Amino acid sequence: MVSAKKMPKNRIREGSRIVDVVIIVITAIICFITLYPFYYIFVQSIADPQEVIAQTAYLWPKKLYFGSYKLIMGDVKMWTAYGYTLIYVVSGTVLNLLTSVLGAYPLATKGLAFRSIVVKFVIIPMYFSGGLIPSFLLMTKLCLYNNIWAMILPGAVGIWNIILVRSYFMSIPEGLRESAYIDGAGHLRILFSIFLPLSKPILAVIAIYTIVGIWNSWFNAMIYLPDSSLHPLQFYLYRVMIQQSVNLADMQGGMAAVEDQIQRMLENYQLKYALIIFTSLPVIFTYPFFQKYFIKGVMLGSLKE
Amino acid sequence: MKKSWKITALFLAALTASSLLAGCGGDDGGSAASGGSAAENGGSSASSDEVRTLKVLGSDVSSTWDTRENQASYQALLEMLAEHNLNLDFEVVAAEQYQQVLQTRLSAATQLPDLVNLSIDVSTILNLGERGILLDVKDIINQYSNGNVENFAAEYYPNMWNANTASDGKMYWMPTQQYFTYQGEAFNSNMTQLIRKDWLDNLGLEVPDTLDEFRDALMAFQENDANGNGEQDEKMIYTPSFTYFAPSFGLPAGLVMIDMEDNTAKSPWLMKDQLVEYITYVKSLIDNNLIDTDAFDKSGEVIIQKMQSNTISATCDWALLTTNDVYVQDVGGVYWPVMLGKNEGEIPATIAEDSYSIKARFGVTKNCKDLQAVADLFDMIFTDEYANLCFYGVEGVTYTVGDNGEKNMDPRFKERDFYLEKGTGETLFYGLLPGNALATWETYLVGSMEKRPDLADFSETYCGYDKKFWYMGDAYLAVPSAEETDQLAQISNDIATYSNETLMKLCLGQYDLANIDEYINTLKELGLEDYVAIYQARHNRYMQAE
Repeated sequence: MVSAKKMPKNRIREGSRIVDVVIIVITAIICFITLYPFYYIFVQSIADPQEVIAQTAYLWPKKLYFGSYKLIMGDVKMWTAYGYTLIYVVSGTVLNLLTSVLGAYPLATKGLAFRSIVVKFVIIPMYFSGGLIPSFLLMTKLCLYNNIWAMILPGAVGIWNIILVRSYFMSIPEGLRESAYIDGAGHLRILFSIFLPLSKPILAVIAIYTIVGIWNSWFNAMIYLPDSSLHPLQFYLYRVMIQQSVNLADMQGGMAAVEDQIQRMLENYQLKYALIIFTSLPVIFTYPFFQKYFIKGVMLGSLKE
Repeated sequence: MKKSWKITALFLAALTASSLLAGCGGDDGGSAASGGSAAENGGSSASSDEVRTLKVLGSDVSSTWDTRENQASYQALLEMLAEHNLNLDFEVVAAEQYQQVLQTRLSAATQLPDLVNLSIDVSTILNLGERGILLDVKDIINQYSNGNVENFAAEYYPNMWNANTASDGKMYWMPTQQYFTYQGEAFNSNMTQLIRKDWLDNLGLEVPDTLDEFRDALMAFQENDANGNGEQDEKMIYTPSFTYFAPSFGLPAGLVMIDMEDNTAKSPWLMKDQLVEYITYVKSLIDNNLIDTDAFDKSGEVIIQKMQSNTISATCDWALLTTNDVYVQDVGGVYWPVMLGKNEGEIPATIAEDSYSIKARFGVTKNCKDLQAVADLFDMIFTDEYANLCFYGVEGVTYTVGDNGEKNMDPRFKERDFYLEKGTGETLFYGLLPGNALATWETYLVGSMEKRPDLADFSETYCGYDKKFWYMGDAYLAVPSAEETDQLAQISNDIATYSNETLMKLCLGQYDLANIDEYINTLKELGLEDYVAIYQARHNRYMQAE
């Protein structure tokens, strides 16, 4: 006869009011730590520039000031940067999805000769890069320098995305492919009519990763786009942040001139907060549309073999 | 059907491969071969009507380039270029991005223009010169110039060759340079302490002449609540460095500076007695709560906020600037320059900026094929007409000429709204072409001299002042050699960091002044004496060349 050992109560699984309160408090603290910096930036963006400089606005400004937003709305260069960013995001995302799907399908097809070698060959560049100068030389040789394609083509093929999609395709039952093949479907038909409709979660994951990545990118613009009219939004923001650090010793002349420059500098100091809010809004609004796919699909692409 | 798909796929693969191999053709500005000297690149003698085009890469420093079509100064520049059969194809990059664009292109030696604004450190420029990416400007001038450059430099910029020639005898850049005069004489601007003159007047105090009087004045401000807010919060802005007060003790105002009285390179850390006196003095200000220690590590914007709060009794800045008055103009405040001797009647040293200064450097790259055109451009730049355009602009637009031939600038010429429509050459194409400005302080301070007549007195007193340390830059120093550059790169950061930290802690009392020998020895171990020796060697080379 075996005496049943009494298992300790799992208060989390079985429910305990104290544990619930502790979990809620910890989660609330984490939420606060995560969300407050964004709220702080929002408060700074609508506070009076003097308050922003003095760093006295924490929860709500004493005096509201929307001049920065007015400046942004009236800034043609900012809207141009916005427009180009949309071009880069849309074209980059479409290209990324296309290349991921077209690259993953053959690698997920059984019967492809030397498949494992090809997969290894594809994975190697994920770990190594030529470096900045070789990349720069390549871009200039391909006539992509100072060209919008410099922002689109380098990131058009994502090896990691190919691996994700490949893993997902391999989880689709082989029977579907075989039955379609028996019915006379070719590879392209199988890919676009069967695999893609079933791959919405992973495609949504890749799309959101790509959108956020391209939206936040600015380094390629700094290196490959000397023409400022082609700059994306994040690089425009970067330039505003740099411009804000003005050396007052270089500003000389009459009182009115210097006063004007100081006021501009003070406005610029606050302007960056308004710009941060403005440039973050599209991504914040886009994410909820992809959320259901994102939650479902974020783990579906994990490697199985 | 299956076979035709395979053939199609093979054809597409071959097409893709061949398009990659084809490249884009055209001149990308770079080749593996070294550009070599001007003779190897060759010049071309243009026919009288042929317009030569030069590609120029520069930065839009003052963010005015977009307004150029409507600017009189730009039209004047185009006319000058047309007279010399020159056309400049400007590639203008935003100032915030320029360094990255420049460094990438120069490192890859591709996409090179003919003329480039070299906004990088001198050691990198020398390296590019040794690699043949930058040509020897002296060689170009010797072979192709009509003599304008040499004649003009001999008259106005006698230091030009010494200050810009590398140790290998070559000159890898043409400088943007400026020469300041005051009442016709070479003028040095000075950095000194500035004190609230209105508070002195309100309390019936004299302008201090000595360090002790200065301290007493600051104490009086606090004790008498000079700003009238009911609190004893009147304090001085001080940054732990040798810029403040040090020359009053005979110390150089930086880690190493040239003392022009005896032509020696000096470091305050190697002048122990004066250093101890200096630190003791600063410490006394801190101990008496006369310095705002909260401002030590704050950004410029916070410092401005403090200035605007009407609590700052004194600061340190260029003596002739009125920038600081703006912060307190609402309360009628004025910051007055003072020269403080250690003792009564003692003439203090000052920190001075030389009348001749190099503001930027422009290199000629190996991609340039028409060196005659480059020489013609330099000959155009080294003329009175161009110098006038740079500093004064266009007559009737930015300045007028008085009855005695004096040039009167529009007092608004430094206001952004004004110079976006009527800018001088400097404001318009400062980062795009070598500049040449024969500047006068009377003009530079137009608008300020009327409100601050003390500035004119100060200028007259300290113009051409002998007892000084040259402030910053490479004034009276030859271009460092490659070995000196390497050595400086190895030791300068550590020395500067340790010096700043140690000075701050000594002033705050966190380090004991009795252990000063220990800190000095540490700096010596870090290479301070080598650092001084390099500066001395550079100065000696410069003076020998003169």
